[in-house]
This record gives sequence, C-alpha cells and structure tokens, in this order.
Amino acid sequence: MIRDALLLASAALMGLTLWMVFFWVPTEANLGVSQRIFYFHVPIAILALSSIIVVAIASIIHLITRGQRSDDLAYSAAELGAVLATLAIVTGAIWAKPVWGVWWTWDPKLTLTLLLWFIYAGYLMLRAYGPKGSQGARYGAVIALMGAVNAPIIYYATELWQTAHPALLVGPAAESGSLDSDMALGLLVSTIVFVILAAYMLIERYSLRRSETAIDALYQYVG
Amino acid sequence: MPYINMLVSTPSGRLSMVALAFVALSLLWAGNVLASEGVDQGEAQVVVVAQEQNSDPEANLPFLFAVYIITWGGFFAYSFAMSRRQREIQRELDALKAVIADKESQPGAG
Repeated sequence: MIRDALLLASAALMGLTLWMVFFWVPTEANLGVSQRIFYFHVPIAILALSSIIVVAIASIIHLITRGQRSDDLAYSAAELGAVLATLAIVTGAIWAKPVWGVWWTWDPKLTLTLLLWFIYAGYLMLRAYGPKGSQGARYGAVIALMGAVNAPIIYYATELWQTAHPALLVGPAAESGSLDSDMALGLLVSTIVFVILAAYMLIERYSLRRSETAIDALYQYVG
Repeated sequence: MPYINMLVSTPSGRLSMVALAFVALSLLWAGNVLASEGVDQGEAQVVVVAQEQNSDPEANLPFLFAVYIITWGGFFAYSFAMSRRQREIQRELDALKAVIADKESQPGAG
C-alpha cells in the first residue's frame, strides 16, 4: 500500500518536475540550459550523501541490538547509495564539461565524492565476498562509519577549501537568497520527487534483502 | 574464473562491476580529454567557458538530455536488476519448499 502510494506520487510529481525543469524555471543568464542539470544533480547528490548516513545509523543499531533487520536496512541503503553516488558523479561530469571545459578535475568536492563512491563499492564488495553473518556486518559498519565521516566533509568542502565547484545553495550552510525564488521552488519540487523515488526504491530493496536473508536461513535449515 | 563467476552472481556484484568500469572509463576519458587539450592533469585548470562560448542559451541542450537519459536509465537498470533478483528469489523459494516438503514426507521424518 505504502509502496504503491510512493510510486504513484513519484510518477505524478515527476511529470510536474519535468515540466518545471524544461519549461517553467528561468534559464540562468551565464550558464544557459546546462544549468538545468542542477535540478537532477543536486537532489541525487543530496540523497547519495544521506544514504551513507542511513547506512551508518542502521549499522550502529545493528552493532547495539544485533538485529538482522537493521543490517538488512544498512545493506539496502548502501546499494541504493552506490547507484545514487554513481549518478551524482556522472551527472556532475556532464554538467562540468560545458561550464568548466573538462569532464573531471581533482577538485576537493569531486575527489571526496569519488571517495564516497569507493566507500560504497568497498562496503558492497566486503558484504558480498567478505566474512558472512555478524562478522561481515561488523566490518561493514566500520566502512559505513568512515563514509558517514566523509559525508559532512563533502557538504562543507566548498567552505573548507577553495574549489571550482559552485558554492552551497541548499542545506544549513547555504546563504539565504542565494538562489532565485523560481529556481528554488523548482529545486524543492525536484528534491521531493527524488526523495519519494529513493524511499520507494529503498523499501523495495529492503523487502528483497529480507527475502534473501530468509532464503539463506532456509538453506541452512535444509543443509 | 571462479572469482568472475562470483562477481556476476549477485546483483550488487554486477552493479559494482558495471559502475566501477563506468567510472574507470569516465576517468580515463577525462584524462585523455585533459591531455588532448594540453591541460596538466595535476593542476587541471578549470576554465569558466560558459560566458565566452555559449552566447546561445540552447547550445548545451544535448548535455541536459544526456543527464536526463542517464539518470532515468540508471534508475530503470537498477529497478530491472531488482525485479530480476526478485524472480530468482521466488524460484529458489519454490525449490526450497519442494525440498522441505520432500524431507518431511519421508518415512520417519519428525
């Protein structure tokens, strides 16, 4: 029921977002239409950062309670986070090309985001091919905590270092009024849509992970 | 060979491999672009070219569409991988149910 509602809401709102992105929001004077990549890139990047926090919190809960559900949630969020981090890097590179003239530069924010991607990849590799059971979950929790430390550094990178990446436009460190009101509304709607879509995908993946865990338990029972 | 089979045997393994290959290729491509443009990779000179080169506001429309297609392609591919895994799980579950039913129907089964 919740899943259907999330899917319907994201589909309906996605139509609205696409209309806003392509027809409604004003075109930025200097960057032209490529600035509209912002409405995809920023929400995806926010969710990629949020996912590692979810992984870390779920991992900590697992370490305290030893509950399987929290570990399954951590794994599911890590897998979704890996997809989101990949998309954030790729969409960022496509945005960088017309603006900076290069696809990639070793800017602190970009490099730290790539590090986050490697953290996700490392977590998934460890869980897939490392020790199984609670030992694997414990090792995974250590990687997740490293990622959680990295996440705020990525967010504040433009404040901490001189970077080519645009200054913060959203979140607690963003200056108020730094974004045109129509652009801010477009970004808000886009962010809500991607959050709903990510929530739907996380619930789906979590449900699948629970089934995988149940199957593993059955295999052990059968022998 | 067994390691490759292990890597492709799980959705997350496949996803990680594809994503790793994609990022590695992107970085190599970016490196080639930097090299061909004579920019030192160590100190990549970031040039804001938009103001000088893009007097036409529609000039970068292909980049916007590329982002749109890649974003939705990515979500679609992930959803497809999940639904495929769901079908595999269902098959495994059916097979396990059959094994358990077989075990329990044997004489002397508790």
